[in-house]
Amino acid sequence: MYKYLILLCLIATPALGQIGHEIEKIEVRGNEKTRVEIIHQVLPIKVGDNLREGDIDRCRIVLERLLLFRTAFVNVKPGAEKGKAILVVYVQEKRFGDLGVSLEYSELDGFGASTNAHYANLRGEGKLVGVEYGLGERFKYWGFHYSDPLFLKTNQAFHIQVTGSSADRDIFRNPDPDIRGRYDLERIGFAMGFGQPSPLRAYHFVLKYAFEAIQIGDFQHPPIPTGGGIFANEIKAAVGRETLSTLSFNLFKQPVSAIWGQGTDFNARLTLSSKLLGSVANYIKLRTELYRHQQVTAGHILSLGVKTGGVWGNPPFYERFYLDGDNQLRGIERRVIGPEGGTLFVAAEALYAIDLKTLGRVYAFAESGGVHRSVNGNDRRDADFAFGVGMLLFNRVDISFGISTGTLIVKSHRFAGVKIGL
Amino acid sequence: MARFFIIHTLTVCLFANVQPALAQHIPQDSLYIFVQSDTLRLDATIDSLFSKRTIDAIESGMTTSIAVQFRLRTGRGDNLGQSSLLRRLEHDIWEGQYRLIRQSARPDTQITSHFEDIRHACSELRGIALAQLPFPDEPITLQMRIDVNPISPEQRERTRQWLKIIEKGSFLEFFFSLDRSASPEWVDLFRFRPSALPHLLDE
Repeated sequence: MYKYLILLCLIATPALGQIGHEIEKIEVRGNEKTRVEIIHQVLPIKVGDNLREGDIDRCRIVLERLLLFRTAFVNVKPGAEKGKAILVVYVQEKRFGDLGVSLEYSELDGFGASTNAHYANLRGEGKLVGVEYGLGERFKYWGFHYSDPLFLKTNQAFHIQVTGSSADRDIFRNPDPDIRGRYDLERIGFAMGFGQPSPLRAYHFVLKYAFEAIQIGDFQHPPIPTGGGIFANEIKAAVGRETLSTLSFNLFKQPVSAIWGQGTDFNARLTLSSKLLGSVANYIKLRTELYRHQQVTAGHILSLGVKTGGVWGNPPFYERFYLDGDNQLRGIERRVIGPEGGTLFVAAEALYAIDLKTLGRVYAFAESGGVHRSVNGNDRRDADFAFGVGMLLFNRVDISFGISTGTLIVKSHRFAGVKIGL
Repeated sequence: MARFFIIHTLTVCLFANVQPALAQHIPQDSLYIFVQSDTLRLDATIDSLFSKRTIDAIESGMTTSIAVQFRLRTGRGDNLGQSSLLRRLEHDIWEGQYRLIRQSARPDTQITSHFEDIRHACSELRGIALAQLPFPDEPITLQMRIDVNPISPEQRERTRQWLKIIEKGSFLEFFFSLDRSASPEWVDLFRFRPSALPHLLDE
C-alpha cells in the first residue's frame, strides 16, 4: 500500500512564493518546544521585507541547519491587504536529536567505527549538546560539544567542544616495521568559537580559540636507517607533553560540492600560535582551498581545484603539511611526496565527472602535489603528478585509481552507516 | 423502513469489541457492516482523522497522504479480504484551495476552499467493499489502520530517489536514514460471525 501512497504523493508540486510581496506577518506552526522568537530570529527575512526569489529556500535551509527539526517547510499566503503576504513556517521537531553509527576507512587510519549522539533544542532555544566516540585500527577519539546557534539572542553562533584523540603514526612510510618506526600522537583539549551562521551572506566567518595538550609517546626509532634520521630525531626530541594555544580565523563559503551542481567552494583558515598564549611555539599557519565546479552538459561536471598551505615560524613537526588525511591525493599514496612534511604545500586537480544518479558518479582526474621545506638552510622540494579514473560510490565512498602510478586510493572514509533522527 | 440494521443489533452476535483507544478511531455507533449483493460492505465515520500537527502541516501548504485500510482475518490468521482508500491532499495556500485526489481505478479530484469539506470527504466512509462472500461461518476480525502523513517536497524527492532504486530492484543502498516513524500497526476493530450480518436488499 505504501508504495502506492508514495507514488500518489510524487505528483504534487510545492507552492511557490509570490515575489515582491511585503511580508506582513510570520506565522509559525507545528512547534511545541521551540520558541517562536528563535525561529523568527534565525529567518533571513523579517516582517516588512519584500519577498525575493530564493527567499523561501533560504528560510528552509537555515531552519534545517539548526538540526532541530525533522521537517521544515516554508510557504506564503496572501496577507490582509493587497501586495502583502504572510510567511508560513511549519516545523516538525525532533523529540530528541540524532543518533549516528558508522563504519569508516581511510588511508591514514585504517578501518574504524564511530558513533555520535546529540540532543537538539535545549530549553527550546535551539541549543545542541552532543557526544561522539570513534575507535579504529590506528586512531581513536572522543568529544563533547555544545552549540548555541543564536548566542545571547544575536545572530551569531557560539560553540564549545572538548575533544581527545590518540593516533598511531608511522615515522616513515614503508611496509617494513624496522624501517618504518612509529610513535603515538595524543591530543586533548578544548575549543570555543563564534561564527556567523546565516546563509544570507555567501561567506561565513568563524573566530576560534583552541587549547590542546599534546603528548608524543611510545616512540620507536627505526633500527634500519634510511637517510631520514633528521626527521626521526625531531620526533624523538618532541617526546613528552607540550601545549598548543591557538587563535584561528576561518573564512569559508558554504560547500557546493556535496550537491550535484555548479558553484564555487572556498575555505581559508589562518592560525596564530604564540608563546604569549601559552603555546609551545610561535608560528603562523595559513591553509586555503578553492574549487570551481562547472556544469559542462547535463550530468557532466568539470571541477578545478587548488589547495595551498604555508606555515611560518617554528611549528612543531605535527603542524606541518603532509599529503595525507585531508590532503590525500587521488593517484599517489599518502606521504610518498614529502614524507617528512613541508612548511609549504600545494595540490591541484582537475576532475571530469559524470553523474550516475543514486549510484554516485564516475570521474577522470589529473592532479599534482608538492611540498617544500627548508632543513638546515637546504631546500627540500618534492612534487609529483598523476592521472587516473575514480568513482564516488553512493556519493560516499571515493575510490580512485592512478593509471600513471598504478595506485588505488580510497579517499573518503565513511563507507557504511545509519543516522536516526529521533 | 430502515434498510439495514445498525450495529447495535449486531452486538448480540458479537464475541467481543476489541477496539482500543486511538487518536484516530471509529466510534462504535458509527460503524455499520452489512452484506449487499454478495459483497461485505462497511459504513463508518472516522473520528479525529487529522491531528493538530497534521492540520498545521496542511494549513502550511504541505501535501498530505491519507491512507485508510481495512482487512478481514480469520482466527487462524488467514486474510479474507482487504480494502484500501488512498488519497493525496494538496493545499494551495496562496489560492486558498484544497485538492483531494483519490487513487483508484478511476481517480477523481475534489476541489474546495473549505477544509471541513475535506474532513467530511475523508472521514465519512460509505459502502466500502471489504470482500466477496461466501465466508466460512467462523469468527472474523475486522482490522483497520490509518496513516495520515504530511510529506514535504524534500521528503518526496528522497522518496523519488528511493523508488528509482527499488524499481531498478538490484543494488544495496548502504546509507539510510530513519527519519520518520514506522508504518502504523493493524488494529482490531470488530469481531463477528458472517451469518449474523444484516443483508441489505438490492434496489
